[in-house]
Amino acid sequence: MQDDEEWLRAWHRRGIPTETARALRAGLMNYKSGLQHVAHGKGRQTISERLNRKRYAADKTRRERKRLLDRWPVRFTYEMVAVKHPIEEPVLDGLNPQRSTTWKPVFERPHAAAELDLKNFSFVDDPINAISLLKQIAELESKISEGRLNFDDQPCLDIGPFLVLQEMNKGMLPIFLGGRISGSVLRVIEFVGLRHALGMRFSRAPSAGGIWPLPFRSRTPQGASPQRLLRHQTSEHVATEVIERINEWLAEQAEVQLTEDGERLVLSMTGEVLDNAERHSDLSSRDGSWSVAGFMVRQRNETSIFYKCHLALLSTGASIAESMATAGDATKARMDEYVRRHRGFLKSNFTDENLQTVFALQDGVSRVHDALAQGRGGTGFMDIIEFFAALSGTSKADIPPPSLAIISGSTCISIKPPYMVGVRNNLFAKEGLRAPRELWFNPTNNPDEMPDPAHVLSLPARLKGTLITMVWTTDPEYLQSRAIANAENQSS
Amino acid sequence: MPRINLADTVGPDVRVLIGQDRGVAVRAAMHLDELDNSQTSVEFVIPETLRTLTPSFVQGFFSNSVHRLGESGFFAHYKFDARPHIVSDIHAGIDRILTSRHLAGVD
Repeated sequence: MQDDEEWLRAWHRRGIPTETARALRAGLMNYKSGLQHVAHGKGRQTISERLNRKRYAADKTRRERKRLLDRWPVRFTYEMVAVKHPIEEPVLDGLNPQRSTTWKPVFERPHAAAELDLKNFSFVDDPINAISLLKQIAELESKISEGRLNFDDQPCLDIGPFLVLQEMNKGMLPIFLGGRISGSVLRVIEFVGLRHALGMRFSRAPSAGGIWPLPFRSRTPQGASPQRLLRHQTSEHVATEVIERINEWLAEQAEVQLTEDGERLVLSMTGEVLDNAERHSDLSSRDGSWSVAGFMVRQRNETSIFYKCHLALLSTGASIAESMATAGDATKARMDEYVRRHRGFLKSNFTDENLQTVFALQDGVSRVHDALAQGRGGTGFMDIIEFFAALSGTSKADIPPPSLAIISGSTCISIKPPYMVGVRNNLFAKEGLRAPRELWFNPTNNPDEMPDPAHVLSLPARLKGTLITMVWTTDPEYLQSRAIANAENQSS
Repeated sequence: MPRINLADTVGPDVRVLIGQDRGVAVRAAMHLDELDNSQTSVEFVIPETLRTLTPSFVQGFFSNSVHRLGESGFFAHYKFDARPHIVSDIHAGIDRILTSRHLAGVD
C-alpha cells in the first residue's frame, strides 16, 4: 500500500487521477515484462545475459515512465514544495491545534483532493458555522494536496470571516486552487482589496458598482519608541479613512453626509476597537497588530432604500479571557466569583472563558490594574457597544436590526436586540462616581442571573485573537434627528 | 490666561485622537501635571480640523487632572476653545474617568 502511494505520488502531482495512473502503470509493467522475455529462437541465455536483460528492461521502463510523466507539468509550484515545515501562524495553529504534528510537506502527502462549500459564512449570522468552516480549512491545509473553496453566499453576509482567512493565508500552503465564487463575494474581495491577501486570482473581472469598499488596512507592531505615541497613529489614519469613505458613499447615494454627531460615533467606535486591539492583543508590549476592512451596500425593500454597512476588525494574539488572566488580583477575584456563580455542578451551559469574556465587557473592568487604580480605563468595550447602538439606530420599523459579534478564543458574544447597550444601575453608584454600564445578557440585566445562551456562545474552534465584526444600517434621517436632539439638550 | 494649542503637540492634520496610552504620552509632553498646579486658568485651543477625541484618549489625557481638581474644579481651571462636539467628547471622557471601577474590585 505504502509502495502504491509512493508510486502514485508523482502522477498525482501532475493532476492525473488515480485510475488513469494505475492504468498507465499496468501498461508500463506489461512493457517491462515484454522486454524481459527472451525472443523465440534466441536460444538459452547465460546468467549474465539474463541479469543484463532485467537491468535493460528496468532501465527502458524507467525511461518510458519519465517520458510519460514529462508530458504533464508538475502541478506543485515552487512555493508549495519549498515549504518543508509548517509556517507558524497563530490563527491557523489555533484553529488546528494538531497542525504542528500532522502537517507534512506537500510532496510527502498522499494525493487527496477536497472541496468545501462556504455557505452562510458569517460570524454575525451563524458564528458556529463560520468558525467550523475556518477550522475545516485549517485542517485540510495540513493534509490534502489539492483543494477548492466555493464561496457561495449571495450576497456577502459578513466581511469578518474573510479577515480571518487572510490572516490564515499568511501560513497556509497554496493548495486551494480554484473554486466557485458568487458575484457579490467576488466584488467585495476585489474592491475591498483582499484579493492579494487571500492569494486569489479571478478569471473574470468583477463588474463595478453595487458596493462601496472600506479598504483593507493592517497594522504591524511599531516598536516601543517613547516618541511613537506623539506621532500620528495608524489607527487614527484608518478611523479617518472610514469616516471619509462613509461620507463619500452617502454623498454619492443619497446626497447626504453624516452629521458631526454621526461622524463622532463612527470615529469613536472604530478608534476604541483599534485601541483595544493594539493594547490588549500583545500582552507584553501593548503594541499589537490588527487588520480592518468593510463595505457598504445599498439595499431596498418595499418602502425604503437603506445603506447596509459591514465593518470588521481583527487583532491576533491574546484573546480577551487570556488578557484578563493578567489582571490585578482584586479584578481576578471578582471575575472568578462571577464565573463560579454560573459554572456550578449543574450549570454547564458556559465555559469559564465564555463567562470571563462577558465579565470583561463590563464598565470599569480591565487587565491593567495600574490604570484602574488611577481611575481610568476599562470602559472601552461599553463605549464600542454604546457607539454601535447609537450609530445603528433608526426610526424605520422595516430596516434589518443591527448585529455585532465579538469572537475571542472559543467564545462568541452576539450583541443584537434586545441586548444592545450597557445600563447604569444607579442603586449601586459609589458616592461622587457614576454607576458603571453593565450588560449581563439577561432580561433583568443582573450578574446573578445566567446570560442568554443565544447571545453568549461556545465555539467549536479557537480564534487566537479577537474579531469584532458588525453589520448595521445607516439611517441618515435618524442621525440628523439625533443631532438636533443633542444640540437642543446642550443649549438647554 | 495661558493658551495651549493642542495642534503644536499632535500636529495640525490630525482628525481624531485615539487611545489611553497616547493620551498619557501627550499629557506628559504638554506638562499637564505642572499646569494643574498653576495659579491661573489655562485655555486649550483645539484645532478646527479635529473631529473627535475618543473617551480613551480623554481618560489618558485628563484623568490625573480630574482626580486632582475634581470635576467642577477641572472645568473652572481648564477652558476650551473648541467646537461644541469636542467639548461633548471631553465631557464623555470625564464621565468615564468618574465611572466607578467597583465591578473590578477597585474602589
